Amino acid sequence: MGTRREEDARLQAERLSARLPALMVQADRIAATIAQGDHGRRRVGQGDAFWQFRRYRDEDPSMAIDWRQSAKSQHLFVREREWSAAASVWIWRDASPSMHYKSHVATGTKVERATVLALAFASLLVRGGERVGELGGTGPASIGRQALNRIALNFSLNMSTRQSVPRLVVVPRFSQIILISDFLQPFDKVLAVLRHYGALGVRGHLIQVLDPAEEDLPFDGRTEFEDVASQTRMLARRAETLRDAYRDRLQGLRSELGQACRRQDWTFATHRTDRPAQSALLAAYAALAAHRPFEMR
Amino acid sequence: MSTIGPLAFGAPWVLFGLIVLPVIWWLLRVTPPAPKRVPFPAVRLLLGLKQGEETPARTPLWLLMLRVTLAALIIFALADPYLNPQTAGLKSSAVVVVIDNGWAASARWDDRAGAMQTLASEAERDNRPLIVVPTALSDAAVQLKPMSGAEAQGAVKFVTPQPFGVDRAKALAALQKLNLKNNPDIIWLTDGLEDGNAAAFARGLSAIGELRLMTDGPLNTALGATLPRVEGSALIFRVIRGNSKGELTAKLRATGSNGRYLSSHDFTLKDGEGRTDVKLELATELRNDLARVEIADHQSAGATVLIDERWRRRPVGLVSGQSVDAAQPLLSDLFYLDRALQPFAELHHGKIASLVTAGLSVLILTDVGHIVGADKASAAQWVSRGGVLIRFSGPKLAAQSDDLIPGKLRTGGRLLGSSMSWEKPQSLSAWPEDSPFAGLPIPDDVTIKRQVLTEPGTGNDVRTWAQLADGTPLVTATQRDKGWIVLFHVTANTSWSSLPLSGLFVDMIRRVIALSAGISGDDGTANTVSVPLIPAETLDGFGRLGTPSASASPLRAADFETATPAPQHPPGFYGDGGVRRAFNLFRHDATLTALPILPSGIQTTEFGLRQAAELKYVVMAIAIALALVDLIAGLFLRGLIAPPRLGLRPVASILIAAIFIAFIVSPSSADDNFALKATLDYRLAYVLTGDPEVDAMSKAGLSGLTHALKERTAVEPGEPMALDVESDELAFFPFIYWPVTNNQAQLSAAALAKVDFFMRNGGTIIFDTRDQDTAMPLATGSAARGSVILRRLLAGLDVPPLQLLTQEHVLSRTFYLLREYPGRWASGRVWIEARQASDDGSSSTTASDGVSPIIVGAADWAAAWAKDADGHALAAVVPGGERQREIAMRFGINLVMYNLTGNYKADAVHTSHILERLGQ
Repeated sequence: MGTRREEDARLQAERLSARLPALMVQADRIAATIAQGDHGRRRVGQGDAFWQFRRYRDEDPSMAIDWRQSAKSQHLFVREREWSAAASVWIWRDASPSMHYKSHVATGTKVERATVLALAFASLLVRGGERVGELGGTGPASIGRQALNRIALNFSLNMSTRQSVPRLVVVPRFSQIILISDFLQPFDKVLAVLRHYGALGVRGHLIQVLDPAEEDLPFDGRTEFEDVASQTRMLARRAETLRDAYRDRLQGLRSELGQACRRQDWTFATHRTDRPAQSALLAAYAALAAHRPFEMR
Repeated sequence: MSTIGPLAFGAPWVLFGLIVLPVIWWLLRVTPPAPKRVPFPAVRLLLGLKQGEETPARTPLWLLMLRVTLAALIIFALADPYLNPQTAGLKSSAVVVVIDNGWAASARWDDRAGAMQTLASEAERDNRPLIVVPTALSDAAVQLKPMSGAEAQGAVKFVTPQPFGVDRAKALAALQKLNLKNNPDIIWLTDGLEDGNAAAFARGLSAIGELRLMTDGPLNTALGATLPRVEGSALIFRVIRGNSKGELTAKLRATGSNGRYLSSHDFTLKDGEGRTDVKLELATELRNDLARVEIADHQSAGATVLIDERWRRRPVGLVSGQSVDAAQPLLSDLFYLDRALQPFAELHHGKIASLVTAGLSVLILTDVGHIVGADKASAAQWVSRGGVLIRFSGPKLAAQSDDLIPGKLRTGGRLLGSSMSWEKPQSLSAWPEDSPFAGLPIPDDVTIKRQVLTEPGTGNDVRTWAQLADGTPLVTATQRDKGWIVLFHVTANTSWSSLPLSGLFVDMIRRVIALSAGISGDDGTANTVSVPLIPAETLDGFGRLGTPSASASPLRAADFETATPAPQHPPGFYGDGGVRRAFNLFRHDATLTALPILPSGIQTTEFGLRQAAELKYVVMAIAIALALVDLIAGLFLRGLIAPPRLGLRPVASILIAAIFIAFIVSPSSADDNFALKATLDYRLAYVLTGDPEVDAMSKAGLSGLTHALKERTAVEPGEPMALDVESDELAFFPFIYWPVTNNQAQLSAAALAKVDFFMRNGGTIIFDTRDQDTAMPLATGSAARGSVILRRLLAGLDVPPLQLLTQEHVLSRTFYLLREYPGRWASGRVWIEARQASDDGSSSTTASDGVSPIIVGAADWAAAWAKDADGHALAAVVPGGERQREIAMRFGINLVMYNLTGNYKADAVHTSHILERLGQ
């Protein structure tokens, strides 16, 4: 994959995310702070914004006394600041051969759309002051455009891999992960990923990106289907007769995935490459911010 | 060969192959089409899905039909189909082609050749022997024999039209000798003309085999042109045709001896007319040149009339009664006749008897009173056979005359206008009605002084063709048998009248000569008649003159009127040298008749109506086209090629991009790159000196200045550029820094002009001699070395007067307020253009906008400005200190500001004064 193309994906992602307000991950589950972010937690804690004055206690260091406020009265006051914290979000997108599929009714490959979505998320999160990292990638999650650049660079270097599931690595508790794939790999592989990260106490968001052809099966007549990854072949005498059964199966796969996600309080969303990327981003944005299960096409 | 309606097949058994078509249908139907292969990531989901219908996919019906049609077409093509076969039936007997190849066939010969070709190729295909029977046989010995294959094809090509009529009886006899069996097919390609025994011929042919007739359409019938009749100066040709049906328009064309076009005349044969007369009127000179008259677009020997000398120059004999006086030729009466006749007649001088026997049209006798002896008898005989005798009077004739004159003359004649006469010379009166001179203009100045007079009432046969104003005759004529005797009552010279001097005389003589019918001297006894004339050039069937064929034999002159054109005597020119006679196919009175009604039961077709056509290749081509369609359709069905899905926008954008790229890619030279680089950004520039150290310092210095400008001001220049004054264009740069080194080369004239132009049109050059350290004011008062070089450099330039840069100058105030202008060396002086004394600001109206085109200093500013990549100064300033460097940088900024803003800053200097004046 050329860098140029990746550059395009990144530009597209930035344009996409520019229309949404900075994404603030509600992190009420994140009790312990990992690092300081600029989420006002409406609680006293470390941060820049003034929260309240309170009476000086003995355990307070003398450095904490606000002398100006104290001089106004008999008591000593300590200035308390609002606690702010940053969440870390790990993003992974599938670049396996099956993601490079583009049917005659689609405008682009799935991996292009997945990359755009992933970078758009990263861009949003970065603007929200969150730590962003590539799941299974090198380096820690970090803040700022630097993080975005690093993710973009990593994506561009790994535009085509054999790996269809993220590496099972240890991420800090209470992180969130975003997995973007077609999830057409064997279901137990996906399940293994879910279990692994669920056990780590991580919240996950699965976004299934599918080609419209994969959803509608728009083929007629005698057709031989050839798997892009495994070279498996399947001859359909009349492809149009398979359409309903295929849809049922796809629906079954989705509901299985959705159930698996719901069991560990993850979210699952679907997206087709012939729909605008904004729709996926908006739905995921809502899910990420409000933390509720979401459905979309 | 078998036929189905208009279709015939060369290999009909191949058609049995059509039986297999249902089998092909069934096979195609049960064989499913090849699947189309698509990549699909979700195959895993498809595996094991129950296929709804168990009926296999079928080849679509339209594809099935296409393929069966394809197979049927191939079988059909292999059966070698023909449309409109000319011979019918699966016979083994011969095919006889009887062709009328006389003159009448040649105009439409292509039809016949095509028909024969078709018949020959059909006969070859069906393995039938072919016999070609031409009815106009060029050779007496005709060998008819059955031929086959290529031999027949060749024989067919060998038949050509002949320049004479057909001899069907002879052809029939030759054919009958062959004793053909088995009812052969006989095809008679007829010319549609009766030759005297056409009906018998048709019966004879029918007796031999099955006769079919091919003929021309009514409008394509042959036309013939006959020998002309002479009527005055016109030639009247008759166009004849055998078939009088339909209206036909054509053109009679006359050409000269060398093929020159002379004239043409349109004529129309109306419906029901078998002939028409065409009058061809030609000027005498043109008529003399006339060699050939033909009907345009009907090339045949019959439509061509060859014209020989009988129709052209008339042989005229001149005999004078006067003694020839060579000393005074202008007084000779023959002189005027000679001059008048020379252009259009063949003149002969000599004795009367010898002239007459040699063959003359016209004999002119001037002042011959009595024709003596035997001459008179032969002359009288000649006249009675059609000769025209013209006599001019004179003293001898006036004295006594013979009887070869119209009427009887009064002796002595009449004298007009002489001293003894009271009568005046007479002029001509109008022509009498029956005069051949009618229509000629009568000049006023022709006067007749003397004439001879006829006795009145000497005969009714004397006609007066011209007369004088008083009614006395000038020209009288009388007819003797076929000939004419014409008497001019004056002399042929000017002694009696001024008539010979006028143009009228020439015209009158010509008119009289035109009366003559031609050579009227031949009689059976003349030796020229009995001598056979050998054929010189003969016509072929198409009416083209060529070398005579071997069979052409000489023809006696006497036989020309009676002989019939035949293989031995083809039409053409006969005779060589002096005598050359034309032998034509038709005489004046020739007619043509159409074929009689033939016995019934003979099938008749017209040429060209039912052309045989070979369908094999056409059908094969259709089959190949269908195969291509099938191939493409198959590829579509298998998904190997996709239907094109190009929207308008991508196409348009690709097109625009291609055009754009075509423009971009078009050759852009280094000059363009330089110009683009220099103009897309504002850039400071420095002049390359050739000293690498100085050049590097200039570059670094201007880079430093550029950075300072970017940091501190609104000016954001690009990286500075190096300039070669000799080769690079200066006009792109408002500001040029020019360090002057010790080995500064003298500029070329072109470079000087360029620098001068640059300074004149608003550019600023900063000359930096960089030698302030060594150029401290010297006690000797001599100039520093750098100044010397600079002076030398600027010697060729139009440098304005300079002044010292002061604190009041705009340059000191454009950005920073400066009091000194240090570079690497401090406390240097800077020279700048002196402001003009005038107060009206004239200096600011110049092209330079009040900006000095030249600034001269020695402080080595570039060294002071120079910074390396990390922002460290490259050269130490003297005496030193960051302050000096900062001031130097400020001076640089002021320089650029001054250079760019011009008089705007100059005005700003005066702002306080302006505000004061406004009363603020």
